[in-house]
Amino acid sequence: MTRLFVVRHGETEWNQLGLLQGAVDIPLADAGRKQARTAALALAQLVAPDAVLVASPLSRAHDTGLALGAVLGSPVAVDERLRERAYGVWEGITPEEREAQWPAQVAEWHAHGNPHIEGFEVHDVVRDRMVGAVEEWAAKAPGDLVVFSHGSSARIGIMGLLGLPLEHRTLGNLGNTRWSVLSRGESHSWTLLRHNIGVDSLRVAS
Amino acid sequence: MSMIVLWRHAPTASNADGRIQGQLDVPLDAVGREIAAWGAGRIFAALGTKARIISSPLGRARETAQALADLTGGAVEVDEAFAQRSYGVWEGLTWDEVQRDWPREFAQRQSGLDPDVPGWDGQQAVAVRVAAGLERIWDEKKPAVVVSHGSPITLGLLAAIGEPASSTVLGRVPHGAAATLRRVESGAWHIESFAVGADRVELTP
Repeated sequence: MTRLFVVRHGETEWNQLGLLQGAVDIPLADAGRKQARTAALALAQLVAPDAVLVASPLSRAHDTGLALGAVLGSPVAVDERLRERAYGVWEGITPEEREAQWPAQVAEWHAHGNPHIEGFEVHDVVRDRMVGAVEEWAAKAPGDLVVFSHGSSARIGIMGLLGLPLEHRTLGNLGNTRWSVLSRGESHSWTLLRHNIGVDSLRVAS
Repeated sequence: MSMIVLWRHAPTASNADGRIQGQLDVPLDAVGREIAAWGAGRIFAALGTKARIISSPLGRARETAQALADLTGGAVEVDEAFAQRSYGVWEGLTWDEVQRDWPREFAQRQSGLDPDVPGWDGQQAVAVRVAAGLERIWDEKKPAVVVSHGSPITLGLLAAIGEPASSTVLGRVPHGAAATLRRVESGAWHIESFAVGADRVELTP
């Protein structure tokens, strides 16, 4: 049985400021590097030693993946399809600016997640590339597969694999360096086993 | 922000033996008490004293809930909406015995269907009962911690997110672990986390 771990990157300065990053390549903050290191030590005990690691090309996700790669002594492949949803002209602006300039589109965003914003990548497009990437890597991985991705694309990817409708946030976003685990049964369909798990959700042996 | 924490009771000796409990009232074992205390500490750290504590009527659930009540100084309310389903004549058997003596019914169960077993509580009825309980206790201002059982938690969550009771999109929350759920303005339920506290690691600083 294949287990799939979907991990969100550690904290960046833009996360701390509440800005949408999307396609912009913002590096991990110092706190995010520390989170990645701690999460890697825990994940290394949860995933199989021969787990295949694949990351989004954006450095915040790739560096989070490299932290686990360093503990396991494994390479981290890069797949363009695991990048964050593009937010178009909303990238890098504050929530206040967004509300002030695009009130109707913000309302659409809250209602179903697909606002009419230039350059905004809609749910179906994000789902298709995320599911496509995971299925392809899962077919190649002998056991566990660990993908390092982003808040919105990870959520849409997980919901896409499970076949859940995308308009509602049936599953919430992953926090920084939090992960979900899915497994695939005999019927080939995916089952969610863990969601939004972080180091603080683990029992620590004394 | 309010939330409902759906906490599966901590393990018992029967869980350790792989025995089906259903309506049988089996107490927590030593490992179960330790896991309940750990979970109670985590929930208390997150919610403090402000959450209602609600439990299935069975002892293993009430004991788990009491571990939290001991920290908050609050009382445990018993609510039948979150009771365990009945496994009918399978109660007290191990899953190995079921597989050996009831192969056809075991296969039905494995594929997500209700097995033809005398006394079995159908999954649709359990899903509707638990989801109605969640609707009733939801309070935008006051979080709730509900201690229940494996099947009712998964079936209630499936009903809350509009998935059929036979769906396999959600696994089981392991013993002593929890899921968190929120209701948003539209009335839709969001699963914020699933199976928190299920895994154990060794961390050296």
